[in-house]
Amino acid sequence: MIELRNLEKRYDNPLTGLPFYAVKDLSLAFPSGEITALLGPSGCGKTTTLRMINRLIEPTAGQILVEGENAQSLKPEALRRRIGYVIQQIGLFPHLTVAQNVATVPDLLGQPKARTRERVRELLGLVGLEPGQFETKRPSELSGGQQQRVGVARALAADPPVLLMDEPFGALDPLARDKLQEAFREIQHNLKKTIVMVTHDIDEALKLGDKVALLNAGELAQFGTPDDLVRRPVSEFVRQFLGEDALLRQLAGVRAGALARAGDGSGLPQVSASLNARSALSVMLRERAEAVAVTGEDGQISGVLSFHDLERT
Amino acid sequence: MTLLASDTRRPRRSIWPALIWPALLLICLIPGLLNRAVSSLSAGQVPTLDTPLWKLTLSHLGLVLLAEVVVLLIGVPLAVAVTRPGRESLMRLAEAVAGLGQTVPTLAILALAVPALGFGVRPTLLGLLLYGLVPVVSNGIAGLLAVDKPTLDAARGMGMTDGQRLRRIELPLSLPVLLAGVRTSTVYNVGTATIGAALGASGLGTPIIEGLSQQNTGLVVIGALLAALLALSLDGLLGLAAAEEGQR
Amino acid sequence: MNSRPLAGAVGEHLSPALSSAARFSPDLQLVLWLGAAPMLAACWLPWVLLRPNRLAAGEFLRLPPLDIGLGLLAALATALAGRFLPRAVPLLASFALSLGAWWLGSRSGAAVQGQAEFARASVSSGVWLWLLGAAMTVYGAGLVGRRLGGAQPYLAWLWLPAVVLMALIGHFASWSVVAEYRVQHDRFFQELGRHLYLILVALGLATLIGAPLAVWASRNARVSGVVLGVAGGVQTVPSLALLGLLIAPLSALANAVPALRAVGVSGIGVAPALTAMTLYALLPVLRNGVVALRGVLPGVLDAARGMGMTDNQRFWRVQLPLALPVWLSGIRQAAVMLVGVASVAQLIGAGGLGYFIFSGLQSGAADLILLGALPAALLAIVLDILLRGLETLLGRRLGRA
Repeated sequence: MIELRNLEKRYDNPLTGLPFYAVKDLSLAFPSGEITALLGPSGCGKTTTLRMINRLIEPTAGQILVEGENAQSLKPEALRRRIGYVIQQIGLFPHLTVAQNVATVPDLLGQPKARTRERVRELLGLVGLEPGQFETKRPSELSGGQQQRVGVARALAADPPVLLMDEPFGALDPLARDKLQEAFREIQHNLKKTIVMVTHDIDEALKLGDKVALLNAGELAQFGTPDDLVRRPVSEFVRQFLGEDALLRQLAGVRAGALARAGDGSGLPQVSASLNARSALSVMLRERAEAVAVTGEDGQISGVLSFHDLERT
Repeated sequence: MTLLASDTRRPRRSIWPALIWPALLLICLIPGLLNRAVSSLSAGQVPTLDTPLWKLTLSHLGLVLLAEVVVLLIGVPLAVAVTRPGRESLMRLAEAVAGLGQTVPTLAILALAVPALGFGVRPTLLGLLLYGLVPVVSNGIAGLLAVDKPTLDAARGMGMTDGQRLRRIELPLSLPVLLAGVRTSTVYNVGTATIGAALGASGLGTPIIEGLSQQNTGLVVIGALLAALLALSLDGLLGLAAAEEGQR
Repeated sequence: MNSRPLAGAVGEHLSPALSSAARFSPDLQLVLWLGAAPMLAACWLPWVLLRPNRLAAGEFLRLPPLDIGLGLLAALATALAGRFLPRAVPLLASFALSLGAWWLGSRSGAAVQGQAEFARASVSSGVWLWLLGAAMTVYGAGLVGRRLGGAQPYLAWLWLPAVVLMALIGHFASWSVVAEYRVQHDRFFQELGRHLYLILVALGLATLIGAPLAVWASRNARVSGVVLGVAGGVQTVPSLALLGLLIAPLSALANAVPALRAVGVSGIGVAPALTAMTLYALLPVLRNGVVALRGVLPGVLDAARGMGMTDNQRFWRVQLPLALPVWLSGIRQAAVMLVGVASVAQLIGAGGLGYFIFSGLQSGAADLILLGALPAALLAIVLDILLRGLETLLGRRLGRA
């Protein structure tokens, strides 16, 4: 678990002497084994908060506890080697091969080479890159999506309990982003890391986050499950930021199959179980139907999704 | 009002630092001043020259400027000609020759010209032309190539002829880069003309060469100081012109 | 028809030639004609200047009629092949350049035949013009070869082994410059060694001083402003002037500190030459270092820090390797420039290839000038090529390819 206690980052304007708070009195606990999305408009302090956790930025007040230990009491380098780090610019080392990139932190920690090599192959497989094919390639030979897959593998290399991600999928094209988000959700499902992910993309936060922390001007606006934010916004700001179509956004991140119940779907319009719930709703509206039949991969009807089921997201 | 606003937002670089070197140069050219100042280096004797220092400076400057004018007359049309569409091979050739010019030592070219052209101003002038052309042509090509393609496309779409595009878009946009080349070329040629003294071209290299052969350090320092000041002055003044152009 | 493969089309005359010619822009042919023009002119110009000794006036000799015919044919064939048979261009261009080199040796050999021992055969305008034109043709042929692909680009380099072979079998022995070299053999290697020594020491010093400064300047805007400003100012000063200006302070220093004089520091000679050369080389080393170190992508450095690299690890493992190829190109620029400055350094008694150039200029002996100037030019070109190769190699090794 990561806990922030009254965290503050203050900058003093050298000309006017007036203080500016990038982050102000922020107290927050990121639950273990879950993804917490740090969401907010640009300049709200979300990246600053993230970078304070691995001390790339030093806070001006407050405390950070990583796994119960005070981050301030550790050497920054030692702290960072225990925390995975993924950034939007990906930041692969262009002069090293894919394998050498992934092996960076294990090497920094002085782990035995043979074990690291085994681990690298395992990780490349995990992120969906065939080890034999990609190990010896240079980053410049990979597509953007492949590069970020290596970036994720690199962050996981030393098996850190905590992963920090700064807009990890922000630089990818929509198609690659979708695929990588899916793959990432799958990986996290198995690994159960404690993940803090900065994003300005509301859809991404609602789709990937188990919890969402919405920041505004350096302060916490709301912290809760995506459902909490969408259905029970605590302030006008939260409601406006997520937008009047927040429910639709949330539906877009869920598969129709996940919401369907058992039932007789004969005579209803059919949708594939892998379609997202928003599209299923669109089909209902188009067909003027209260429910749709959900079909599995074999084309057989596996359940029914009714208008009311959409409430249960 | 608008002028004032733009001035406060983008502070104009002061012109005074650029004028220090020309001022120092003029002070050093006051007759007799420099000669007396270096007399301690010439065993207490005031070193004298057949030609007054201001005359040497002027002929040095004249040689450099004359060469630069010819360089511009040849170099700019050349750069324009080889950057037209469909002349890629010619442009490569021009760049290769310019690259070779940057590599081969100045003295080697100057010296190689002597057997063909004899001693004096002529081989020096040839060297000045060749070495002056290198930065002007390569910067001219680089500047013209760097002109934004969509801008050119827009100009064509608005109905500009090739000539209009060249005059109204390409040349104005590439001017800062070209001016940087002219500055390099001129300053470099102050040095080339100094070496020209070894081939018999009269200039600020003359006292240096004479001083070295007579082991008269004072004389060497006179020539070296003036040549350095002349180069720094031209560099400053041309830098000023380039900055002025960049501001527009 | 245009897409027809070129291979195996030698026997069929017109159609394959035209189809492949259509793939070449007219300006490539213009390059070939630009090369052919000086060669055509060279056929009619004096080829060799024969003098009874190295300083006397002499008589100009031209090519024999048969050779003129061969020359005209070789020049025209290369240019015309650009239009009608591009595949022959690289080979023909190599032939033209080799022919020029062959005639250089054979005509000067024929000229001194039966002459007295001191007779000198210098090459004249014809040779220079021919070699100039042939070099341009070879360059154009290189471009042709690259578009044709296969082994063609290498054919444009065939002249090199041919010329080296001619040199090895002593074909150029009668050329006045080689004659001069035979007289000055020991001195030549001494001055060449001195030349290289000056360059290497100055380059080493400039790197030793410049590298830490560049690292410092890359992290601090004010430092980089001052350091680059000063180095740029030094670069502005003409080399001869800088050499001259260093005489006074260095001789004063040597007089004030006898220990320095004991190790060879004085107003003239190697000490001021090395000082000036080091100062000159500082700018490219510094400027490229700062640009290279700052050019490393911030995302890469941020990732390195976020992964827990210490400042030292980040510099040595990430920033420096990535900056190295660009930095090396600064060192190459410095090296090439130093070849030139070192030639001038002879004026303050530092030796080097400038020795031959200046003694040639003083005595009006063109051969002596060439003995200094040609190797100096070649040295600069070879250094440039070698260091460029190293850059490419390093760039590829470091993932920039």
